[in-house]
This record gives sequence, structure tokens and C-alpha cells, in this order.
Amino acid sequence: MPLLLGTFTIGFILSILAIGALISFRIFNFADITSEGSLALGASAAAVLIAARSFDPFTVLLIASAAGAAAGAVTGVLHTKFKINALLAGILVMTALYSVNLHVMGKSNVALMNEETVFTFFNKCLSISETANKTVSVFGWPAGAKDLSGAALSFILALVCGTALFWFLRTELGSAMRATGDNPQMASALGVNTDLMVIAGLALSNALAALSGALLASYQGFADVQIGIGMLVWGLASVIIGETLVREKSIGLAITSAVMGSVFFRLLVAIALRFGMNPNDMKLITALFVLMALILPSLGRGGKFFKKKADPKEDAAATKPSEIV
Amino acid sequence: MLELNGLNKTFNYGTPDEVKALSEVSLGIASGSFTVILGTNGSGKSTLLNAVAGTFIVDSGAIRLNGRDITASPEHVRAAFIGRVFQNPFSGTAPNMTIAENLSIASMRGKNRRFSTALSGAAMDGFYSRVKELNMGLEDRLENNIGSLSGGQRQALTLLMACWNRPELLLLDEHTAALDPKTGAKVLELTKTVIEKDKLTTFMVTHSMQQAVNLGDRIVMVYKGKIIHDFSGADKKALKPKDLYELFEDIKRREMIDPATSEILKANYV
Amino acid sequence: MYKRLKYSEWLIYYPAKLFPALALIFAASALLLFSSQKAAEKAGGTAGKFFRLAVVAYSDTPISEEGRRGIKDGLMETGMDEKRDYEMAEYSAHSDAAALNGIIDAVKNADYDLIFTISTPALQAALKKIQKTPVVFSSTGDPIGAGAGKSFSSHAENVTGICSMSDFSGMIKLVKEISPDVKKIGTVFCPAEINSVLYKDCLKKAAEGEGISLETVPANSAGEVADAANSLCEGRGVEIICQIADNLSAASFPAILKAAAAERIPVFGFIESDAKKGAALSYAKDYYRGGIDSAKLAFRILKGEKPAGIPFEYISKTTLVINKKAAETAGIKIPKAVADRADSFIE
Repeated sequence: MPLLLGTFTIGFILSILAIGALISFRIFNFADITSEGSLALGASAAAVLIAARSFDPFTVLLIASAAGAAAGAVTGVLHTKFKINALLAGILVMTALYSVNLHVMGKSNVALMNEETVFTFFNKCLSISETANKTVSVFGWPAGAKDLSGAALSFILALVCGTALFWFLRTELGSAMRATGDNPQMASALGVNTDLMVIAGLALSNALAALSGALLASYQGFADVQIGIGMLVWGLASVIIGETLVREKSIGLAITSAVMGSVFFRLLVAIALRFGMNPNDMKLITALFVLMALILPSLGRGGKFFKKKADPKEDAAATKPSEIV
Repeated sequence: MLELNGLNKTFNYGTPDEVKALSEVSLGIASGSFTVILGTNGSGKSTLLNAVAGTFIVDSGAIRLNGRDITASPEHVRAAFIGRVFQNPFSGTAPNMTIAENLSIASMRGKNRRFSTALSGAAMDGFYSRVKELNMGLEDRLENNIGSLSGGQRQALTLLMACWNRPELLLLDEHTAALDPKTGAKVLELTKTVIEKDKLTTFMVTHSMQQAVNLGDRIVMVYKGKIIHDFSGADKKALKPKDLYELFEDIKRREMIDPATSEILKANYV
Repeated sequence: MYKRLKYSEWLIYYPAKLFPALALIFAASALLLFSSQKAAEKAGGTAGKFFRLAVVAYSDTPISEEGRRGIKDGLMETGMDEKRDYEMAEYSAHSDAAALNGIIDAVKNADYDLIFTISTPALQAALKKIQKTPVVFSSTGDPIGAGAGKSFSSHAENVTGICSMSDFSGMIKLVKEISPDVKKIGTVFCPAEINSVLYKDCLKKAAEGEGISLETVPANSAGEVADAANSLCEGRGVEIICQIADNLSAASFPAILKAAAAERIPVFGFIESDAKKGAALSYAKDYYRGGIDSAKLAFRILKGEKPAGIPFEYISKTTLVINKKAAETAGIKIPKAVADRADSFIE
């Protein structure tokens, strides 16, 4: 049970990164590598602020996100104003952030052993003691109260971020942002400041990455400058796994599926850990599990169980292929 | 009133591919008029339209729209006053967004976009009634992605979107050229209705002489980045496609002769 | 009036779309839950004289592998026999922080009798989550900085281990003995590794105490080590390279050797195997030895001692290995007094 709850917690924490990646990857159609740097930036900033004990843990999360937003805005400005290839702009900012993060922490690793983080704060609110290992029963399974509250808090935060993003993308500004990614020519012709939209979008995406990093550092009790390495790849994997499982791209479902993809992916990693006793095989087994999960439903689609239900809305929409020459 | 004053634009300046796309183009277009820009491929007619739209900033000259100097304004700023329909039916709409979302973006042209819901119930009702006027049955599919529509439907919606908030100037860039003749005619009919209804100042680019003759109250012929003929009023009304055709043939002949004569001149004098 | 989909219709529409994904997540959760339950039961069944141990490493680097090898050999030295007395599971997070947390959860869940951690992040993740099971760390340069306790003797109750600090003053003494006139030594370090920065500072302090200055060049990734080494060797007047032990330089040690060889600068290493790879000598309190020592601490705990009562220790033994050929090529003469102290030679 602690393993399952821990997996869910990490899955929800990283799902915030995944919905950030959704913005850059699915709205602006490129993988913004800045996220790896801003995840570490969020973790570093949060760790330093928590260790300094001058802010309450939620303010710390806000400041960390703001730092990530600033990093994303820099990438956006490099890309739009200086016409640097988006991928390269991301790589440059990510590289620079590595040094920035070392400066923020003053060293490469900051420990947060008995500091107040959002997780301990939440435990305090629920009057769960940090030292006593109270267990509660969940459907007959014993579960640590702390593990449970950690999973609950990360779920709530992922829910809040997902809902906020869902709401934003359906506002006038949010739809202008989506149009900018979908068809910049059209957006510009309809008076949308496309440069500003790209900058704001990347800022938002990286703010979410930084928030995810800050939570990760709070949860695991330390920040390390290398914490971001490889994270974007997993974030994108979550987005794509989610899409493959849900097969629908409306905003609400896209965000939900990214969160589910992240949780599912972490579950597969945990299962690989359970069964892959040779540590060298872990990544191979993880990859095979992901592959299996993606292929099985499409194999089963021939059968009745996974058969795609006809969607009346889509059927009505079905038109002949474009009549354009 | 749109005033173009001595516009110049050279692409790829200083390279072997240097092209003088606009040279000293001056033109005044009265409010409420419908001007057709006619020219062959590469004549600079689309460049002229793009200069007005702000796709690029001209090298020299001035563009004024209703007294406002917009020469140096970026595209999205001008878009507050200018509606556009592109040649490519895919260019004017966001394919992965719904019809309603596309319309909501168009309905905010020239206004401040805010953090308020784009698709409120009232907005949806507005979209419904105006899309219904197109008579294409699209009003019941407001929540479908535009990408699932045909080119003609998309172009009709683009036109509707460009004119949603009455623009001070409507730019049409051969917007029926990529459609099949039947759909093209339908979209053209729609264009006429919209323009007449709102008395829009229109600037349309075409290479179809038939369209030039049928539409609008003024024909401006462009060749090699220069205005070579300008017909309006009675002259325009008297024009037949045949006359325009002959003018073009004339140009073509000159084009045939010019390189040949220059060769002869070169051989003799250089 | 536009007719929107009713909320009741959405209530059917959304769950229907999400069903396959939810089903898969549920299935994966169940699989994980039942499999981990089985592991816990098994653990209960085999308690007694047979021990179940786990090794958690953060990354796959030569240092980490040396540490793991040390633990295995160390356990053997205590007289315990794998299969008869204990079984040992090995985990590596492959440098993925999220996976590290998953590993710690998995290890905690499986109720091991004792957990070895290799490297600072692995120790930190364990500190946060594991309160009961004994944890023995190694390959950690600064356990206090990592949050394991207030001092070497007053520390987290279930934690003890081996602080893998190299013998810097010993190394500087060797340098002085071999070439008394040396004014400047150098090393490549990795700003991202907390141990690397710590060791660099310690080496600097030890060197400056003897009137020697230390040139350092940072490298952040394996690709940068060769450039950093070239930059260190050329035009800075570095007479000897004393390469500190960190993950990055250990993995890219040949690149440092190559750059030094081009300028005929001798290389002294802090890892035992450095001499074998081509360094003139190695003076090592190294990670392999740290692994052996941590296995011995673990043995004491398995025999019933409380980790709280075992202070953190430094690596017990320093090994001097001299590579005669490499020393000769680099143009240095090893004095007899030094050669006599050597534990082994590489011809």
C-alpha cells in the first residue's frame, strides 16, 4: 500500500509537469526543453526558501512557480523576438538554468529534513503526527496516514492546476493562445499578438514545471541540481500515453488524459521495479510495459470489449474529405 | 479611405535573388468602394495586399487608413481595423478548434481579450444566428472542429469571421482561386452579399478577368510592382473581359520582345 | 438559440471516453497492490536468521558500481554467505529522481532487514521515508550536510554509514615527497555533484596549507570533461593533476589521462583503479573500500547492534598503488620512501 500511494503521489506531482508540457507540446507544437531546467529551478528555489523558513509553504510554491514562469518567458522572448529556433531557445535556457540553479542553492544539493513543507503543513491541518506512523484502513488495506495525506494533497494540487488550466484555455485569452499555436497566420490576422501569446504560454508551461519541481523537492525532502534531467521526456511520454488511452483531444479530456498518463506511467515504473530485480533491466522493462499498455487496447479493439462506441456527434460531423484541389 | 503613398519593397536585397516587388505604388481608395487588383503571377498584386495587411513592413512610403498612419504597425495591430480572407482556405481558420471557438476569436478582433469565458451562452446564440445566415447547415455543428469541414465551408466561415466586427477595410486575396468552380461561385456570391450589406471598403486581388469585370467599381492593373492601368466609373463599367485580355496580351508581347531586344542591344553595343 | 449538450449527456460522454484509461490504471494499481502484499507476506514468513538486504543506488557510474562491488565483497568478508545467510536485491534509479522515490517506496514496502544507500540523493530519499529499517550509507561525502544528523555520533536513529572523504592531506604529503618544488596542482570537478564540490574545497585547503595552489576547471557532463581537462593542462602551469573522485571524472577518467599525457603532466588519482587505468599513482580511500566498510557496519547491525549507537565512520584504509610505467612516461621519479609504502605496483 505505501508503494501504491507513493506511486500515486509522484504520478500526480509529475502530472503537473505533464500538463505544462501539454501547453508547449500540443498547443505550440514543440517540446520545450526549458521545462527540465525550470523543474530544477522550482525545486531549488523551493528548497532554499523552505530552508530559510521565512515564507509559509504555499507562498514558497507560488514564488517557485513565478521563477519558472520567468524562465519560460525568456525562452519565449528568445524565440519570438530574436527568431531563435524554439528547440534551440529551450536548450539554451535549460543550459543556463543549470548554473542559475547552482547559484540559487549555493551548492548542488539542499536537504530539507525537518522543515515545514506543504506536505507537513497538510498533515498538520489533518492533525496527523509526523513522527507517529498511524495507519488507517482503506478498503481493508492498511495504509499509512502520512502516505495517504501525501497522495491526497498531490491529487488536490493536480486537480487545481488541471481545472485552472481548463478554465484558462476556454477564456478569450486562452483561446487566442490556442489559435496562435494552431494557426498563427489566422491568429495574427484576427488581431492576436502572437509573440505575446507564445511568451505567455511558455511562461505558463514552465510555471507548472517549476511547481512540479517544488512539490517534488518538498515531498522527497531534498533538491538536487540534477533533478530535472530526463523529466521532460517522461512528461511528454505521459501526455502521449494519455492521448493514446483516451483518444480524444478536446481540452478537458486532453488535460485529464495527461494526468492519467502520468499516473499510469509511474504505476508501470513501480511495477517494473517490483518485478525487474536486476537493476540494469529496469528501464527496458518500463519501456516494454508502456509499449504493451499502448498496443493491447488496439489489439483488443477488434473485440467487443474495447470496440469504439459510435459517437453520434462525430458521425453527424463526418464529411467527405476536403473538396479542395 | 485608404491611402498608399509611394510604397517600395525589395525582397532579398543585395542577393542574386533580389526582387523589386513594389516600386513607387501610390493609390487612394475611397471608403465604401470595391477595388479589384488584377495582375499576372508575380506581378506584385499579392505583395501589395500583404503590404497593406502588415505581413511585412514596406521599405519606404506611407500607408494611411482613415487618417491613421499604419505604415509601421505590426500585423496584429492593423488587424483591429482590417479583415482578411486568404487564398488558401486552410489559412483563415484554426483547424483543431471548434467553429464556435474560431468565431469567438474573430468576434474579439480589435477588442481587449480578457479572462472571461470565450463561449458564454449569449455568445453561442450570437454565433448560431449569424452562422445560420450562411445557409450551410453549420449552425448545428458549432462544437465540431473546423478541420472537419470542406474548403468551401471553411472559406465561407473565414469570410464571416473577417467581417464579424465590421472592418474598416476588407482584404480578399484570390479567396476563391483554390475552390472548385461551383463552390467558388457560391463563396463569391456570399462575398457580394456581405460587402453590400455592410458597405465595406474592399480591396480584392484576383487574376480572373471575369471576376474583375463582374465585381467592384474599380480595376487596378499591376505589373512588375507598378500600377499600369486604373479604371473606374464609366470606364470600368464599359470594360469587358476581352479588353482586359488584350491588355494582358499586350504586356505579354512586351515581355517577349524586351529580353530579345536587350539581347540585340547587348550584342551590338557591349 | 444554440442547443448545447446537456450536463447529463456530458456525464455519460466523459466517463465513457475515460473508461479504458481508468480501467488500465485500476488494473495496474491492483497488480501493484497484490504483488507488494505478497512480498510483505513472504518477508514475514522468512524472518529469522536469514536476512533480506537491499542496495539502492542513484546512478550507474563507475563509482556507484565500485560501491556495490565493495558491499558484496564486504559481506563475504564478514563470513556471511549469499543464499545461506542473506539475499540482496539491487536497485538503481538510473539518475531519475522520480524513480528514486519509487524505489524507496518499493524497498520500504518490501520490509527489508537492512538497506544500503549509495550516493547522497539515495541517502536523502531514504532519510525522508524510512524511519524503522536500518539504513547504511556509503559514497556520501558529507552526511551531515545531507541531513543525516547533527554530528557523526548524534544522528538519525536508524541510520549510520561510511563517510567517503578522501585523504587529502595524505595526498598532498605524497605530492610534496615526490616533487618538493611543485607550486601548482589541478583537478577537474563537477559543480552539480555535492561531493565533488566538497572534495575540491577540501583538496584546496590541504594544498594551500602546504603552499601549493590548486587550479580547478568545472565540467557538467561527460562530453565536457575532455575540454575541461585540455583547458586544465594547457597554459595554466599545472604540474601535477590530483584528480578528485566524483561520478563524472570517474566515468571520463581516460579523457583526463589523455589530456595530461599530451602535456606530459603526471596524474594522481583518488580511486584505487585509477593507477590501473594509467594514472602515475592512486592514493585511495575509495568507494570500493567504503562499500566494504559499510558492509561491516551492516553486519554489526544484523547481529543486533542499534544503528543509533554506531557513529558515522571514515573509510578505514588508504591504498597506495603505483603505476611505474605511467610515472616514468610522465617524467617523475618515485622516491624509495614512497615506493616502500606502496600496497601494490602496476608494471
